[in-house]
Amino acid sequence: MSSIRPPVEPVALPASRAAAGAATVLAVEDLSVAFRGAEGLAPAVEGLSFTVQRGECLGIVGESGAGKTQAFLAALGLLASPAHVTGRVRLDGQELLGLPERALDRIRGARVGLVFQDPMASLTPHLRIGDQLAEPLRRHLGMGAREARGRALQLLERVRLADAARRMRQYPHELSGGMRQRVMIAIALACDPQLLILDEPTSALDVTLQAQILNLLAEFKRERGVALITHDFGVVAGLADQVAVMRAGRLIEQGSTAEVLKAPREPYTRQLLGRDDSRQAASPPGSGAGLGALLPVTLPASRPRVSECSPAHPCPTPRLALSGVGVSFPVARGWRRQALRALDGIDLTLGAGEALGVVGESGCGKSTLTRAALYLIRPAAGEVLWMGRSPADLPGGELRRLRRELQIVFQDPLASLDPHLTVQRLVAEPLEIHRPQLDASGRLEEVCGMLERVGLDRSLLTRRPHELSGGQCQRVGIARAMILKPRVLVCDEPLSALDAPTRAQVLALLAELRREQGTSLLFVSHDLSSVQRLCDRVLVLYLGRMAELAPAQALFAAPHHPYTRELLAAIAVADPDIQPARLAQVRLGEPPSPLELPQGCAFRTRCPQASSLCAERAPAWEQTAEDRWAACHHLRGRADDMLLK
Amino acid sequence: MLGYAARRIAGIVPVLLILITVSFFVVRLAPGGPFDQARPLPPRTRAELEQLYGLNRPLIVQYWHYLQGLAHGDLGPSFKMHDDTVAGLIAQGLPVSLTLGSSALALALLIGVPLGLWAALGRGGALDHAVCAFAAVSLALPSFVTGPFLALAFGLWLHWLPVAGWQAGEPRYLILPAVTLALPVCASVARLMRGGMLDVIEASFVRSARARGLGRWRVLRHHALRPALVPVVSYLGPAVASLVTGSLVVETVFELPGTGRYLVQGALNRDYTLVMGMVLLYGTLTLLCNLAADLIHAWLDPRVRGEHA
Repeated sequence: MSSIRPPVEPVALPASRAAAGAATVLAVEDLSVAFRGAEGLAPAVEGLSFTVQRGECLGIVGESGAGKTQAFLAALGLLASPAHVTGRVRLDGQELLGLPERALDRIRGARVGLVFQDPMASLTPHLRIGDQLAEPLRRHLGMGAREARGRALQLLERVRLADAARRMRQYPHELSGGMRQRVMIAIALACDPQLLILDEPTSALDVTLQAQILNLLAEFKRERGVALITHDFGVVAGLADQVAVMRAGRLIEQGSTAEVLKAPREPYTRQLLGRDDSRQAASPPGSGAGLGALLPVTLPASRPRVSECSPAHPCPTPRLALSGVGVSFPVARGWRRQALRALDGIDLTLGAGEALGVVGESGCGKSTLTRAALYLIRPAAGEVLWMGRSPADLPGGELRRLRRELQIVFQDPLASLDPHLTVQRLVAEPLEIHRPQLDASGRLEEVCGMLERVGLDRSLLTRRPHELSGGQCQRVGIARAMILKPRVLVCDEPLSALDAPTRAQVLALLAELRREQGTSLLFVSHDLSSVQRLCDRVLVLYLGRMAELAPAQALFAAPHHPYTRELLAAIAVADPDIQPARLAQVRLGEPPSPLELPQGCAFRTRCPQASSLCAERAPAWEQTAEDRWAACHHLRGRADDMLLK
Repeated sequence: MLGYAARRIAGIVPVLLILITVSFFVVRLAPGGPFDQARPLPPRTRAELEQLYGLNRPLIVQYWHYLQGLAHGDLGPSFKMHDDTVAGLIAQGLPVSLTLGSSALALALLIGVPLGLWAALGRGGALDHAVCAFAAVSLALPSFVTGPFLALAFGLWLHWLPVAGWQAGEPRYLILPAVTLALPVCASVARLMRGGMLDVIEASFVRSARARGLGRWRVLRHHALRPALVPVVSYLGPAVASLVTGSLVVETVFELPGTGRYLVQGALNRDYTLVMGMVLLYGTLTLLCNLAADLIHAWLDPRVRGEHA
């Protein structure tokens, strides 16, 4: 073990700043980072300057590849590949660039705490949580093993990790994503650093978890400087005091959060904010117009009417219908085998040209629902109908022919495309299978037409997936799914691997394809705002059970189920006036394990309205208004609706 | 973990039974028998021999008798080396092969693991290139080339070590064969160690550990090393079994009285019981080594433990 060192080396502050009362924790001046590549130096960051003050949070915003993370990694000597770094980076007046590795090791973890994006991958898999927490304490503060363990436990309690004593003995993979991010924050805070660097601390998490983590971080920013790297202005609005916008390695706009978010000067910032000048949010925030007005809603110009198909008035033959569908997976727990009920009693219909959104936290069965709807998983209970026919009863050839009418777009655009095939082969493959009579030139014509429709250039035909950007890959995925002109397109989190601007483009593309071809969409996402923009109706899933089903606008304006209310409250809104207050109100804790569901209503352990009735029996699925259904014993919405009438 | 190990050990028994059954019949179905020779035996002698070893009975009866023998730990007599039982032959040869194999294994690990680590840490540097070149050459050269070459160089020219032969308790006789046997294994270990380490040092949790200021060596030792060892362990499972049962080539080149030659000799001579004994030995060791590799893997990576439970 390392020898005992003083925790923080005393550093004299520049007199002028100390006198002004504003202590600059981090001052970056003219920082440039360039990587040595095959063709000389490739700049990643150019001439970056900013400061972080004590008690203040600076949000650094930009698309991926803008150089946000590289700048901080370079400042701390953590870059993965050899790079040319120039400029000045001063932590409390001490220059960091050019410090030897040993000196940096006394700063990293002790005076600067870092939290990285992916909590799943950022903890060492073979070390127990308690040991990983104790490590920096022992090294930097010279604590003994016992003292470090005691302090680690306190830290875990401080980041409000439930059941902290037991978590100390667990391995990272035994914790959920949200819990691991709490552990990462606890480690970053362990030695009470002056500067906390948060690199996309919530982008791998659900809305509900994001809100909880942001809430927690807001508590810790008072005593220190915080640098928050993110692409999400909603996150900035809740936490940051100052904002710096980066594009292609340069700082393009800087100012207080209120200034930048309310009156962005740069067109690029407006684009990142999802506000084109033409579609500025109309109603002033906080006007009581409900959440719908706060979100930057950009509806397609001619939006198809909400379909006539609904549970209340079922069509004669909906394109896709699920009735009473249940799916369970066998899970090994120690010596026992147990069934995990991923879906239970799902009823839904998807009419012609309709877009049905499915939302919920991760693990709620959204993806399983898409697999069951496409009959890729055989449901344990209930029935799936495609255009009124049950795939279970169809002979193999017939089933395959009918499958062309139902296509899917997957979450990870790169991983879902065969890396060996060119774009041309990838898009043409469905034609080879389902329209073998088409000759090569006819196929090429179809493929080119489709590429044009999804906004991809012909020159990409010979590229392979790894030579494309994430957005281009997802367009190929959509082209591949749409080339057979299916009647139903199932989208399983098609946007979650994409940047904000790309996300908006792909969303617009889906809306357009739907309008042009009358395709029905089953759109699964944990991103509520894109569901709101695209979908006619929304189904809210909670742990594999239906919580609420309603027309999109009605649901976002006035959610009936308490879970929907909490979900909507957790959405980060890019408005610095109201977002901090919204954050402070987030109540939702961690969801229970799907293997140990509470008796009665599955949501009652997290529900602010739970009563003894909820523990006794599960609520029935009942109609709450026209076209609206929910399963809850305490439907406040019903009363509201009646008052409105 | 203990329960898992117990279940895996219990699982070895049926696998061995299948192995015995299949090899018993395959060996006997191959054309020719133990007493077919260039100059045929007189029919009377041959019949007597077959009677003696029970080869005139129906196959299924022979199989049953063999299993009964096995249950009592009896591997039967060798058909060719008439004075020896199979168990006796293995008992003579195995200590030699075990000594040789485990020295080669130790050598391969002691040299291969550090070489792989150094190469990975100095990626792209001179040492890295040297290690990669060494590994490529060692893997490409068969041991019937390296063995005689080493014997020539260190035995005949330099007179440092004996050219061949074996004397129990004399490590001088062990060195050249152990090096010959270890070379390709050492090369594989170095390459796998290098690859494993390169993957791990780019992992997010290693960057995270560095960001905590834990220091380069502590990050390597406590955070990176264990996951980087996984490919090496997976490779060693099956490799160890073939190392310790002996190598025909190395034992022939250096005239060592190990078990390596028995499998090939036995198969060529249709020495049914000897082949069966070697198959059984090799099978048991392979299964045990794989089990050990899986257990070590579970120790290296706690995520694996849940999957096996």
